[in-house]
Amino acid sequence: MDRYPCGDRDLFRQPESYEYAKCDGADYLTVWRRSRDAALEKLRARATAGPAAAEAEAAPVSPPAIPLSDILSEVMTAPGDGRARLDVLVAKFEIFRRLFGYYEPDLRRAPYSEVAGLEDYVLFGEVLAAYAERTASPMYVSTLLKLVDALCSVIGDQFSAAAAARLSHVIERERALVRYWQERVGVAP
Amino acid sequence: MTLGLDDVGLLLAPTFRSRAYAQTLAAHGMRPALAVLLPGEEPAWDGDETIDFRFGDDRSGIDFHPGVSAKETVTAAGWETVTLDTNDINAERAIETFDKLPVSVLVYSGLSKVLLRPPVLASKVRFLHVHGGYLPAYRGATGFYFGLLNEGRLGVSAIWMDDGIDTGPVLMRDWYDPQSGVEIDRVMEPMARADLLARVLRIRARDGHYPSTAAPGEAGLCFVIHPVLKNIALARAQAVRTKDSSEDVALTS
Repeated sequence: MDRYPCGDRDLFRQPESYEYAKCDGADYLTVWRRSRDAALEKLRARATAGPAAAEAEAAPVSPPAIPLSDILSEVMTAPGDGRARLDVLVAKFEIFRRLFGYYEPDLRRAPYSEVAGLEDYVLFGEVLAAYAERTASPMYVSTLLKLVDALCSVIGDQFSAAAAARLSHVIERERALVRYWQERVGVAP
Repeated sequence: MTLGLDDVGLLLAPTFRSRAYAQTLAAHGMRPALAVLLPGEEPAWDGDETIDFRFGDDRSGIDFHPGVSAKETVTAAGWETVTLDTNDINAERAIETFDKLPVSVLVYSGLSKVLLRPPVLASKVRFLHVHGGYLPAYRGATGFYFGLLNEGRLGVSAIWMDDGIDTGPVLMRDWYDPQSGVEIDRVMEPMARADLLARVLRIRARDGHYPSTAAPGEAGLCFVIHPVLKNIALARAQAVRTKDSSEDVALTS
């Protein structure tokens, strides 16, 4: 295998199912790391480039809708209570491969809310990385890997310099988590 | 000696899991009342013709022939068969067939990721399913791999199917040690499930009732595992193959 198979298209528009993944080759992780290296190169270029195209302004949503960014920030700082809410968002992302910009207090999609923006998805990645590190749960690592696959598939002018820098950091944490699991199960190279 | 299971049938699809089920029960001298055969194309097998399969010192195994279809095994064993013309067990005509079967329990080895809807749950048969994952912690399609990552062993659980994702009452569950060099998807995982099924049915035949367990533990729903983690799990089981396979292998649930 010489090419990482999970990123050759916009995975937000054409999601990857991961169900029949060919991944039993001994070189699979090497190819995956190279793919992430290439993404980091692009992100570095974005981080030093001029201002990005602004994300489309979200359509106004009636109260009591809550911005996804607020929900994620709250989940990040309240790990005890936050895990149940994070698990709902994980399930939504795993099933539909997308999140929305606004939710009702019970985490149903707010009426008329549009899909989440890249900054929201990067924040989601930061929250997943934090929970994967805190809980040592491979489920969060698995979702994080899928999210980063999707974000890497759309790296381009729409990323702000700040978002590019933050996603680079998420990728470094993702790499450390994969390394952790290799070491934990005794298969690190 | 043949162990008769007069009120039990097997629902078999053209899969490696169904091959493992049929061969394991036949090898252990178990004879269900019938087998319901689902349509579909049999998957090809490109490995060794026979795999000497043993789970630990205290459990007898079988010589597994992954290339032999469940239908061939069932026919050779002389089991009664019923052929369905659909592999949708929620279909009305499937339910009509189930209602006419002279059994009260069908062991489910149909397509993966199928949820039973109320009409089929209201039919006269109960569906016994062996899930690849230690319940309740490892529900979902790849609970087997998450268990392998976390525990280094292969969890398997026999349940009565309900309308949830691996949420039915647990009959029996156990962990199996992986065997070095044995492929997981098409051999080890189906054989672990087949072994637990044989143990459940043996208890049923011996005691006159099915086992049950409270299955304590925190519930967790596993979504499809990312290939990077699956690769690590495979490496843990020392089952990473040295050459690429050209065949897609479904992760059975």
